[in-house]
Amino acid sequence: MNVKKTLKEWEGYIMSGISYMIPTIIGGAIIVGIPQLIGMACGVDDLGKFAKATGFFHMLYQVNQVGWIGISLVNLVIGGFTAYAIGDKPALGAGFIGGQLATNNQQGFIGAVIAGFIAGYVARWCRKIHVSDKWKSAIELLVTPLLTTGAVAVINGLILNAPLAAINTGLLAWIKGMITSKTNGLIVALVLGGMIGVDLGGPVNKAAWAAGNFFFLEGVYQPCLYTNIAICAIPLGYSLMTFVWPKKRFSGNLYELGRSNLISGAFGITEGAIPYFLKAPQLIFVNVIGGALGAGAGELMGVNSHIPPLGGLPGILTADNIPAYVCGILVCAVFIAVVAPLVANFTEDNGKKITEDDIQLDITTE
Amino acid sequence: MSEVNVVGVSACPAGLAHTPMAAKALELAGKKLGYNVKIEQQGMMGPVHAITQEEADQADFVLIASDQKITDMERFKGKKVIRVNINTCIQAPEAVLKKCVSAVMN
Repeated sequence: MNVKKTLKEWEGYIMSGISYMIPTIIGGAIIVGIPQLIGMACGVDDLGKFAKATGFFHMLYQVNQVGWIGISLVNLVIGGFTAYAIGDKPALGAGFIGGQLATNNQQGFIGAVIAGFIAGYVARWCRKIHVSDKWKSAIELLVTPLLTTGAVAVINGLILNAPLAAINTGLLAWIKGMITSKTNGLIVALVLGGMIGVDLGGPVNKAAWAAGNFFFLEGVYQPCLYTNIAICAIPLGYSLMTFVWPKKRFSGNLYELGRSNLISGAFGITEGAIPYFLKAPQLIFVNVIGGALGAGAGELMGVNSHIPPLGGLPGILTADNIPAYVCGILVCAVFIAVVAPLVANFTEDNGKKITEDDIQLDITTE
Repeated sequence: MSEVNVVGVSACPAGLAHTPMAAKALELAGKKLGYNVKIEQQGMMGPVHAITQEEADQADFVLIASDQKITDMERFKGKKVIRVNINTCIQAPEAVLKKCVSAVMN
């Protein structure tokens, strides 16, 4: 077995799970946020007080609760679709069950992913059971669900239940402790902010984002804010760059792209910065340092939020300490805008040429 | 060699940027090289520019620009499927197509 290839496949499975989770969490966070912001604008900080009341604030509370359902489903979606990526349709149900188990028993994101892997691989194995045709439907209808869900129940629900919960709560307590201590909190911010800049939407970026969301689900919002700062500031930095440097330093395409990065940045899409990075791979250092500086500046100024933070510039609305959030974004964006054109040439085609020999093909027959 | 028909699917975690970038890069490169290339985007909005069964049947091979789960792979039953890193497809689409063609057609 090729270890490197297996790890690459596993990464693809987890990324598939995350790709289904993204709309769930964004939808949930927005629907939590909007009523809360309306409430705050009317001078009500805690909608929970209106849980049993009637009237306008109770309506806000009701909408707000729907958003929380989305956020509480995140583990379920990750578990289910990680399983689906591995074992297709027969794995989905057991993956959902394992994901919800992870939520119920405080096993967190890690528990959900492990459940997804177990459900997925058991489902894949079930397809190898060979029986005569008349028994085939029995396998599909009964045996596969029994074995997939049974494996999740025994492994995640019984054997790994205590250790997974311990890892999850331990990790949470550890990070909580780090965030509250000044120096360690800065390290968390620098690492997460830097990771966002590594591959701009690739696996490392999504790992940092997932880490932010992992704490987000537990009601610890700072890590998520650190990543949000870097996510929106990097594309904004490239946009700013095309405004402050003479136009002749950019090819027509990259100049125009600077304008559209204004939008990518505003809504928190780091991917907007990819074309610059493809042009000049050395920009990875600029992106990493920029992301780390921005997140670090935000941390030093005490960025925080007591409601689920939105990404991008809408995040300004949900931040408790608006100057900290804005300042973090500015530090990163200005750094990139100033430094990027110094280390890279954006005028013409000068990127590293990939030749046919560099390309790896993975050929199979479907 | 007669006409080269390529179908494929691109997908990335967020499905916002890499997915359409790779699909467009490959289709454009196909035009330059004189291949018929159609890439389905399995992004945030579900399948865009979907490959039909007919198109799948006519294809010489299937190019998957992703390391993720691709839905509806049944369409490509019996076909050679080539997986390539999505970033490579964005950076060097022509080289990717050339290499795939020479790997499959010879």
